[in-house]
Amino acid sequence: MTTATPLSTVTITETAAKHVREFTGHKEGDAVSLRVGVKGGGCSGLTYDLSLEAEARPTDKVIEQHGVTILVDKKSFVFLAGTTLDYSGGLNGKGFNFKNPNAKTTCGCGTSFSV
Amino acid sequence: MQPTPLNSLHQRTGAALVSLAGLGVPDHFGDVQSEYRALTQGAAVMDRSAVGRFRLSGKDALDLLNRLTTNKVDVLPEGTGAGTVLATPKGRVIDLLHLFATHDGLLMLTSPETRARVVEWLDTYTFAEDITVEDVTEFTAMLCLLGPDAPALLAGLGVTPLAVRYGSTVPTIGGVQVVVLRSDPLCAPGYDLIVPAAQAEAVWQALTASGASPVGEAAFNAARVEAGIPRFGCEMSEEVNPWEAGLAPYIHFSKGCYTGQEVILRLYNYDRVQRQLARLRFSQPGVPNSAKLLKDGKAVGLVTSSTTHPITGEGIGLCILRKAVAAEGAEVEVVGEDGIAIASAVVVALPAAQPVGV
Repeated sequence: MTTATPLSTVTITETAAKHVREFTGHKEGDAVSLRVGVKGGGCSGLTYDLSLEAEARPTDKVIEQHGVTILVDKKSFVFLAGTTLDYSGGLNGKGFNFKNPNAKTTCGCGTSFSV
Repeated sequence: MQPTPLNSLHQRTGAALVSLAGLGVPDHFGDVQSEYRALTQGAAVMDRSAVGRFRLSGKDALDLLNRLTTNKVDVLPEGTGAGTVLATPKGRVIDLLHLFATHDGLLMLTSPETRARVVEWLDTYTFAEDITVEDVTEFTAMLCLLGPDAPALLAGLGVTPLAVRYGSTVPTIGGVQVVVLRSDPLCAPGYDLIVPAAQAEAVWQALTASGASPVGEAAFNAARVEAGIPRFGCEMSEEVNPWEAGLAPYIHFSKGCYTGQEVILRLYNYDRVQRQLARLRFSQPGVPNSAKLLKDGKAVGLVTSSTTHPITGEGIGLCILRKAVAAEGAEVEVVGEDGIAIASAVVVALPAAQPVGV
């Protein structure tokens, strides 16, 4: 029997989950679904992409955590395994941000990365 | 060598063939001098079927290309297009892509040698985007109409004039439906005609009957070097950035993020571009490609293209040269791999009319 290790899945922090619910106007306890993916392009080659989507696709990886359903398409998952979606708020906060152990370089503004 | 759709015609007209990315295309038809004259003073037709031709579809095609290349191509109204450099994250050149939003859909031309590489690159960076890349190179031929008389010749065949580079139209020529792209491969107005493989000969005959002289790679390459136009495998490669390769007109400064953008703009903003494309006149013909260039014993550049001017017999070439040495009239020494001097060379200014970006 194996349990999923952090390196083989995508996780969302409780703070980020709370902000997703706030962003969508959902109350605690409501079902919220978030698509997390990678897009080609962006100065380092790959860009993180977040969107609100309810429908899972047949080849999606589906992860439930802190009351949020995360949908990751198969190809994006290759680049995102082990990534944590976090939220840092406040005046100097970055907002939603990704900690990705696979990323070798990131661009100056932090939205683009390469592996 | 694989044949192009015009191969049997080339055999019948006595063309000497040369391999371009594995395809046999005419090097010349027996008289490079008169072919060069047709290219520069009359009207010429050339078999450019080795150029990569792709049909792109899907609502995210331009959006993806815009995120992967240097020019602003997110919106291309029908009848327009753009050249744009596909770059690596380190800002090196994979290829110069030519996009045409024709009435018949979005077409992309690549260099002959980069067909597989471009497709693989686009596929690697495609995630959930709606884009399909279809290689139509083998099902079609591409005839290129060049020379100062080319526009009049096309008008004489009833083709709507294309006023601007990257324009396109889909007329019928010699009974065949043809996609006409204003591609300007030699900077002056020039037209690539894409036709189904089976009808290539009919369209070629229609063009030669209207006064276009067949020309091959040798004359075309000499005209390209004279015009200072970079070519894949010569000036363009993954060893150079777009500034060095003479691709500045295809870089958009304010369109936002694309792969390689940070490096490409940083080089410009911090004035770190150290080398540039330059033209050379050699003291004698026969200088080999990749010969080293020295100034006062120090390495200052590399020869990237070298050929003989078909009319004057002079050795002419292109190089990527340290900016400090690249002034018109500057003299450099040319040495071979063994370090032994081969010739000297003088830097000549690039022609004023350079390709214009969007």
